[in-house]
Formats: sequence, structure tokens, C-alpha cells
Amino acid sequence: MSSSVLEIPHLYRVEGHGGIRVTVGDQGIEDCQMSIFEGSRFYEALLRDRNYFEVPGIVCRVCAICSVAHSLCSTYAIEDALGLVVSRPIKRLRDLLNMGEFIESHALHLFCLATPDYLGFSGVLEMQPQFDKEVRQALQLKKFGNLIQERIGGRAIHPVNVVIGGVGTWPEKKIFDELREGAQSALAILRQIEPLIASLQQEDYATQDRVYVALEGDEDGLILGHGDRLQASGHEPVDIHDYSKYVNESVVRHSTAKQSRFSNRPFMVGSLSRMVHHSKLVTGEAGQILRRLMGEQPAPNPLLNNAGQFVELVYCCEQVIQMCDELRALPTQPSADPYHLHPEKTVRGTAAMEVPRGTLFHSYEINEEGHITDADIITPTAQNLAQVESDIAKTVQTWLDSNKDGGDERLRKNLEMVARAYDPCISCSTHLVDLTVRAS
Amino acid sequence: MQADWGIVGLGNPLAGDDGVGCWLAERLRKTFPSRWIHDLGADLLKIQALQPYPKQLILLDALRSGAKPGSLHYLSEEKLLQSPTTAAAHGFGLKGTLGLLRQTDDAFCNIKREWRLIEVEQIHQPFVLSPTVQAGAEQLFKQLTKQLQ
Repeated sequence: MSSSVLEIPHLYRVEGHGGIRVTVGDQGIEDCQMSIFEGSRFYEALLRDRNYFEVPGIVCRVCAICSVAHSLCSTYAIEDALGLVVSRPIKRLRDLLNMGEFIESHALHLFCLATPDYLGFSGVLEMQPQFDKEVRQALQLKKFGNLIQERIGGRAIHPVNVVIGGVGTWPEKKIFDELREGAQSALAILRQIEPLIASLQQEDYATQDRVYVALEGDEDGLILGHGDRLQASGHEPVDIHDYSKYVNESVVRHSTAKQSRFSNRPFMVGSLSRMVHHSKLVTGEAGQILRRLMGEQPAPNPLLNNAGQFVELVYCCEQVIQMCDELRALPTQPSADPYHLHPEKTVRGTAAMEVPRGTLFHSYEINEEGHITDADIITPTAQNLAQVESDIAKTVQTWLDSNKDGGDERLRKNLEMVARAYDPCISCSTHLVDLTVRAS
Repeated sequence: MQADWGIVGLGNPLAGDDGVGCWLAERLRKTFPSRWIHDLGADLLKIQALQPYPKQLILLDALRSGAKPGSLHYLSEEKLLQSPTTAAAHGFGLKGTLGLLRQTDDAFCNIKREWRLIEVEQIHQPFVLSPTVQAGAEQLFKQLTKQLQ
């Protein structure tokens, strides 16, 4: 009996360091692994014994591209522990900040990391001479996302304006005018780019049934923000405080990142999951584009996560306009003082947020001295890893069923596109493809 | 209005000495609060949100080349682009990010840029600079303070 090992030791154009290894024997696929070999960072241990109000400023450094997500989610979790519920204006201001990170992250991933694959380029630098206008437009979108973070978060990176119990400084009304105008310009760019996104061929080699997980929309129907209940295909909604009963984390030998399962099944979080669960909540121009790009019910094809990100870019810009109108119309500046009191006894709080790559969980235990005694962070990339492995196996099986059509090069490209479609942020979850085929 | 001089710090303080660029930028910003000085963490591409750019820019970062920890490197950008380094923000790495900025951002191309890098010792202890790297950073801080005064 013989077997072949298909190995992609380093996957490019993803955040961090990872690889893919598939073993194929006479009877088919024997093993399939997506490995993360970025060094473990032990974020949770780093937070122990810190004052709770230091946490948002520390966790935002976990990753340059997800800093708002970690800062906001940790803030909501600590507020949950302390029994604080912020006012609607403060929540809406934080939602606006989160929109900034979505726009930056999706613009970068969709146009600069994923699209080159579809168009046959090895990367955005090679794509740029032929698609100069589109690449510059993508960078304009990213810049607008950064601008929101700079104006609302206080800095272009690693926000300082998110504080426990409120915000540091309330923006002047002219900031909301500036961001509203920026969102309208971003929408105009997205309308010009839609034909390019619609022309990208979404092959179905990884299409298979899956469990989709996303947070329920909030009281305004916002699907990209802080939520109280998880929705999973085929399950009743789950209170996020019970996340550990359902999102089961386990250590796997081949990776420094933990893997997650939902009730013992791999699952998918991110844009495609949100589109599946919330297609009716996506209205306006984003809703029309959703139905044009993905139909009434999106197919279970992980590559459609890229199309979902485009819909969310439009959705975010529309939301920015609404949020700016609401916040600008406030008659008085909301009270937004930071909170520094210690709890009377040890308390625990949990929060979940929809962030660019999926659902993010932060949970903290705080003692009566205000120190963190336990912390748990489960990132979207860690949640997706088991489903990525399943989709990689499906991609290899489709290739085997086609009598290895296109050879190793075709397989390498397809595997890379599947892994990249998840927009993995490996820096957060603790790269991806040179393909070698060797007899084991 | 365009500033004559600007400084950006790059790196991640959660990864020990890798954060030396950010450490320097923060310290310089506190010393010269009205100057164009920014901590960009691990994502140089975010500089696009900080326009108008200064006429001249000093970029501070960490480097691992095998030299003595804490030693200062004054590298040209062309030399930096020839180095095999890739690890950095969101799949591009420093070389990819510089490539994208140079291909698409005319204003960035017009800045006179200087790179000053400090050799790292450890990248495992969060928020802690090794004594050798701290000494190198202090030396660079003094040089930059003189330059900015």
C-alpha cells in the first residue's frame, strides 16, 4: 500500500504562519490538517493580575488588523462582569468604530488578498499594473475604515477611546459629517467595483453542508456588533454566557492554535454565516447586492465568504450613514465617564461580537481588588479551523474524483483559495501554500 | 499643513523587543506632543490614514540580523527590500506593504524616508525590552531628540 503526502508548508497572503498537509492513500484521503505554527502567545495568561481597566489597551495589541474587535469585546465582557450597561449613544458610537474595522479589514482581504487568486495573479503587487484603478479604490476604502477608527477610536491603530463604562472623548459633530460624507464616497466606489466582484467565478469544489454560527442581530437589527444569543444551523438560539458548553475548544497535536466545535461538529463563522442567518435583516442596497451575488439562499460554498464580505462592505457604509445621522442629532453630549470601581466579590463576565472574521468571545473573572483572575478569548479563526480542514478534505476529494484534473498546481491553487476565503487571522488565533508531493 | 519631519514606530509590544519602535515613538510623542509622531503597531499600511505626510520621515522598527542585540542599523529602503524578511501585517509583510505603497501612493513616494532599526534579543516577554535593546533605544532616543529640537 502506498500513500502520498500533499504538503503546503507555508500559506501566503493570510495573517500569520500556517500550512496545509494532506495524506492520500489507496483508499482515499487518510489525513488532512491545517497547521498553525505561529508561536503560542498565551494572551490569557498575560492578562492575569492586571487591573480590569488595562485589558482593552492590552488585547488591542494582539493583532494590528483586529485591534478594535479585541478592544470592544473585552470592554463589553468586563462591563458584563461589573453589571454595567452603557447607554444607547455610547453603544452606537462603539458600533460605528466597529464598522471602521470591518471596512478596513474586508477591503484589504477581499481586494488585496483574495481577488488576485480569481484573476490569476500571484498577489496584489502583480495585479496592480493591470487593475490599477481597482487596487487604488480598494486602498481608498481601507483608508476610510482607518479614518473612522482614527476619528472615533482616537488613533488609526490600537484605539484609546474605548474605556470601561463609556468612551474617553465624545467626538465633535463635524466628525459625524466627515464620516457620513466618506461613507457616501465609499458607496460610490463599491458600486463601481460590483461588476468585478460579480464576474469572479465561484467554483464549487469545496461545497458541502455545514453548520453556520452567528450572533443574532441587536435590537436595531444590526448584524455586525455585540450580541446576546448565538444562532447555529439546526439548533435553538444559545445565550452567549453558555458559549463554553457549545463552542468546545480542544488542543490538536499538529497546531499551536486550539480548534473549536459546536456540539461536536465543525462549524463556520464569518460573512457567509451571517448572510445565511440574516439575509432578511440585510436590506437597502446591501440587500439587493446580496441577492444579486448569492441568491435568496447562499450555497454552502466557503468561497462565497468573499462575496459575503463585499455585501458587508456595502452594509457597513449604509450603517455608517445611519449611525452618523443618529449621533449627530443628539441634543446633548452623552455622559461617558470611565468606570473605575472594584466589584464587591469575584465576578465573571462574557461578551460576544461579530467582527470581520466571525464571532469573537471574551470572558473574564475579576476579583474584589479589580484584578483579572481568569481570561478566555476564542477567536473566529480558531473556531473556523476544524471546518477549514473539512473543506480542504472535500477539495482534495473533488480533485481525486476528477482524476486529478489540472494536476498538483490546480490542487494547490484550490486549497489556497479555500483557506484564504476564511480570511484567517493566525496572529489572533494563537500563513499558508508551497505544495510538495512526496511518497511517505 | 505638511510637517517638515515625522516619525513612525512599528512593531508589537506584546512580542518583547519587537515593540521597540512603538516604545520609541510613544516616548518621542510625549516629549514632542505637537510633532508628527505616530505608533503604527504592526501595520505600516495604516500610515495612509495619517495624511498629509511629512516631507521627511524616520521609520523605527526592530530587526533580527544576527548582530549584537541593541545595535543600531541605518538601512536604506532599497537594502531593506532586498532582505528576506516577510513576517508582518496581514499577509503582506513589510516588503509587500512597502511595495504596495510605492506602487499606488504618490504622496508616500515623495517623502524622503530613513529607516532606523534596532537589533532584537527576545520576542517572547510582553511589554518588556531586553536591557541591551533598552540601551540601544535610549541611545536612538537621544539622537532623535537632538534632531527634532
